[in-house]
Amino acid sequence: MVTGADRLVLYVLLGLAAVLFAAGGAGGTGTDVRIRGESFEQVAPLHERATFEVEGPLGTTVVVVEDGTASIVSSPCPHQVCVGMGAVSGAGQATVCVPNRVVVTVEGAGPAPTDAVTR
Amino acid sequence: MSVAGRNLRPGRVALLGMLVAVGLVLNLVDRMIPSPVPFARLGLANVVTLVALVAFGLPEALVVTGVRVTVAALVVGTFGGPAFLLALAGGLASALAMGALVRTSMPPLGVVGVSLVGAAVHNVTQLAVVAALFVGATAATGLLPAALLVSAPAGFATGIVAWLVLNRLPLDGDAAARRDLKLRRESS
Repeated sequence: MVTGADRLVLYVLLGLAAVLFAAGGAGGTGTDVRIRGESFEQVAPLHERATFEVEGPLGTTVVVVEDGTASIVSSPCPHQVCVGMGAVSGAGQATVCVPNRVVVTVEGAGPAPTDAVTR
Repeated sequence: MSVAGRNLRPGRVALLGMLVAVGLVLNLVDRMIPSPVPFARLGLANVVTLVALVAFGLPEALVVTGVRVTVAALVVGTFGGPAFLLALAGGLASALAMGALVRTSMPPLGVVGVSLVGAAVHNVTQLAVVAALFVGATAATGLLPAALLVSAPAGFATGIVAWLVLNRLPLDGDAAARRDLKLRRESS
């Protein structure tokens, strides 16, 4: 049913996957955070505690960076989706307040985490 | 009838059509099997490609795979979309790779080994197409080890199923002789 050569193929395949896993490392950890508003743009290190107040068309959006995560803690928008979004930390992740035109993206080396799955 | 030196007796054409039909059903069954990770599938329909390769040959296997993927896409409603493109690229690439192996290395390689390589080629091809068309190379290479890893159990399982099917399939003439040669089987 399974020949010796078959087994060899299985081991080579698993070995290759293991080597690639080791080579790839964790990857995708964020190092910086970029905060953009209508007339505001700033890049800050993700691992330094800081608070940013960004002025938008509706008022002031407060972005807090701490412990390697960034989150919008308050915003004058009607639905509070951005606040509900919580904290982002991985490279390529973002939290956005659309009504107040504030975009917070995490930047960093490595591949971005998956954001789409098709089947 | 003969196309490109291939024997296309009505019986054989009927058998190939049956393989397509069985592949379609396996494809649907495959979708119902729950999977631990969203992008991991068993690839049961690959059994049909393996049977076509071992009993008939690469051209037959390519036709069976191409028709199966296209009709499956029409049934499920993904025809022309990205999922169809991925299925077709993965299916044909793995059929080509497995065909080369069946031709050159079987035996000593068995159905399971061929299936493992086919599954790996299938997943890597899909990732390459995704990288080329949608997300770019950096995001895709991050998934490469995962794509290879999930291909191992899937390829192994479908290989076992294909082996069981090939041993039980009532074949005659060239197809039976070819099967017995490839599986190192006593002639039935």
